[in-house]
Amino acid sequence: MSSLLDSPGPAAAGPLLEVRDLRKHYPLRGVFGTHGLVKALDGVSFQLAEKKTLAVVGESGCGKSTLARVLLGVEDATDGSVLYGGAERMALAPAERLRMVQMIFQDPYGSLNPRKRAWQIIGEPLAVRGGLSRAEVRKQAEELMLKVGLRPEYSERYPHMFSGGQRQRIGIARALMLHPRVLICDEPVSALDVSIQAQVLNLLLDLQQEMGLSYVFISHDLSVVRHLADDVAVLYLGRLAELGTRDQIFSDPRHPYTRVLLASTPHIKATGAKERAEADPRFRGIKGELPSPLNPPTGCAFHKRCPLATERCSRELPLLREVGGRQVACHEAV
Amino acid sequence: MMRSMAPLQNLLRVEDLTIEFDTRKGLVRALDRVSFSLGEGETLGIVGESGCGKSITSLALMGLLAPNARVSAKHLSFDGRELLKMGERERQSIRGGQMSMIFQDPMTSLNPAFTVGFQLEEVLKAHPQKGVEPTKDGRRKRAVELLDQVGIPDAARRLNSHPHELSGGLSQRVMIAMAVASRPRLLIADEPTTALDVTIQAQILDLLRDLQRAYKMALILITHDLGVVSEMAARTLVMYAGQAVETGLTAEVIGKPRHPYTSGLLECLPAMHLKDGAKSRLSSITGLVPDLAARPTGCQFHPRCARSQEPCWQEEPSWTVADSTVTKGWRCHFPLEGTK
Repeated sequence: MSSLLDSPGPAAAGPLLEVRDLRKHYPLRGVFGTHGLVKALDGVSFQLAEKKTLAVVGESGCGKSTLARVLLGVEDATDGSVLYGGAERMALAPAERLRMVQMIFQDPYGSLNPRKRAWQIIGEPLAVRGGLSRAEVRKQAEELMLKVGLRPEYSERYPHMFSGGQRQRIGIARALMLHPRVLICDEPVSALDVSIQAQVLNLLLDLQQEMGLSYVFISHDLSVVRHLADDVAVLYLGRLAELGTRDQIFSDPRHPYTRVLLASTPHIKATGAKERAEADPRFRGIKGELPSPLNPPTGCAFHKRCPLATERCSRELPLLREVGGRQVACHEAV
Repeated sequence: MMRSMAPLQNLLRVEDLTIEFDTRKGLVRALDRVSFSLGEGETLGIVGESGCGKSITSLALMGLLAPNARVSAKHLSFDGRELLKMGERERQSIRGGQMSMIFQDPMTSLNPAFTVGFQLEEVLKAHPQKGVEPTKDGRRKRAVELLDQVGIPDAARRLNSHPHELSGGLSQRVMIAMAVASRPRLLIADEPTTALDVTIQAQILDLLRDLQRAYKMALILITHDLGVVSEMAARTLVMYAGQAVETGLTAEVIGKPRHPYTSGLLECLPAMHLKDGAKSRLSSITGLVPDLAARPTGCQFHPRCARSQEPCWQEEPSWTVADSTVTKGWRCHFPLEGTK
């Protein structure tokens, strides 16, 4: 399971996706020129091995979606590198890039063109690449519909004729059309009802098995992450707070922010009573909100809300270091 | 957390509440004979998926439904008074006064054109309070107290803020301050934390619990999150397709569900599959919630239910009451044995 920290075996030729010291800064431009910098991502590094799932968790404004956009190439990084199969993303041929990474979106309502039929939406990547007849595109789109659990007879329908869960399946089929190796899932189930959410999560698990996909799974829902992640990256204000395997993060979190996230998640008594009793009350219901990225606190960005903070935390930025077999950015973590 | 089983003085009594909408498709029954009651200071969680009638129920209690809604009920009484038989003026004195509500989306529930202070003082003007001087200064003083009480730092300065200057968590706190400004006896919270991050959600839930204690108010918590219900509510009502399908003490509903839908809803949750290990398949409920304009015959859940058999397809199951001391019951021909 510990794909992240084990040295690669002889068969594995390095990670499929590697992110090194990634930075994305947005200058704030006003009438009188630039007057500030938002560091949406600031020195993020991780690796994703083949057929594995890396979950990225954190609260709104922590940089999750910026990360997705940079990985996909919708936005250019300010600094650092994104390597797919050992090669810089931009060094790959455009067609190669599209086959490497695709994305599914949070909102199944807003992310499909309402004026196109299901097969046109799903087949669009093929149509853009060109070289195939309309009939051939449609045939491939319908084959994929079957694979994601949609009835091919519905290929003539428009998005509004599908339910939320079905629409998310259309989004997944579209992302899979070019057989990518990495799929970026940005909150793929958070807009869905629980019974539908389970169906879509099962589909993602099946597809990973069948097609050998790797997922970067962005989510705020820790119970979903716990279910399908191999590794977990916890982001806070654009920096990694903790990076480790699923079991390390959930069973033995070391960064106070990770512990706060876990303690804040409501548990169902029938299942979670034990975990909750063990949760340290210091980490429950902490004060304050995510600080403004425009004016982040000095030192550790979390220190103003942290139950363990000392004077050093307000001065000195903690760097990632190894604690208990995983990476933690905290002075106090042991 | 758990309350005594002694019968509580009923603050709210809902019996056979039915809501129909006149639409182009004909008469659509959005809520079908829903009954529940709530004692002083009690918390009831209402859970279900989108379209099951949770929000409609709360809007009906508040009297905020659209004009094409037809509301009927054997009883819809608050503090012994029938809400449906009241005139609009009397209803208005209860709405936002003794009974108030907070909504899912705090960002769009506040008026963007006015300051927080103005909107808070407006509530105090509409519902004059004992101990609050009926002057601008008196109301202002109380507004500061309220913001302070809901945990907004630097309350006096915040009164002059406009809603766009507030984060989601702060906006929800302002909404809560407005809702409790009139010292309500019943607070209806419709998905109060769904739009918020988990750390903020924990803060807001803690705040609601504290205020409930301070004001001795009853709380109806509407949510899709069974975890939130489990932490907050002593009793739970599960809804499906506009009907109540199961109700009882939260610990029993979650620990020993009787209705297959309740059990199915629980099985869908990744947290229930911890022992199966990571990446195991989740149980899911097949199919979709029925179209309310074309309801199935018999039990509303039968097209999605693995246990459905002959009578379920044609005959609607009646409401089974488990015992008479606590309100506990379900609507199913073949309830689960209650062992899980």
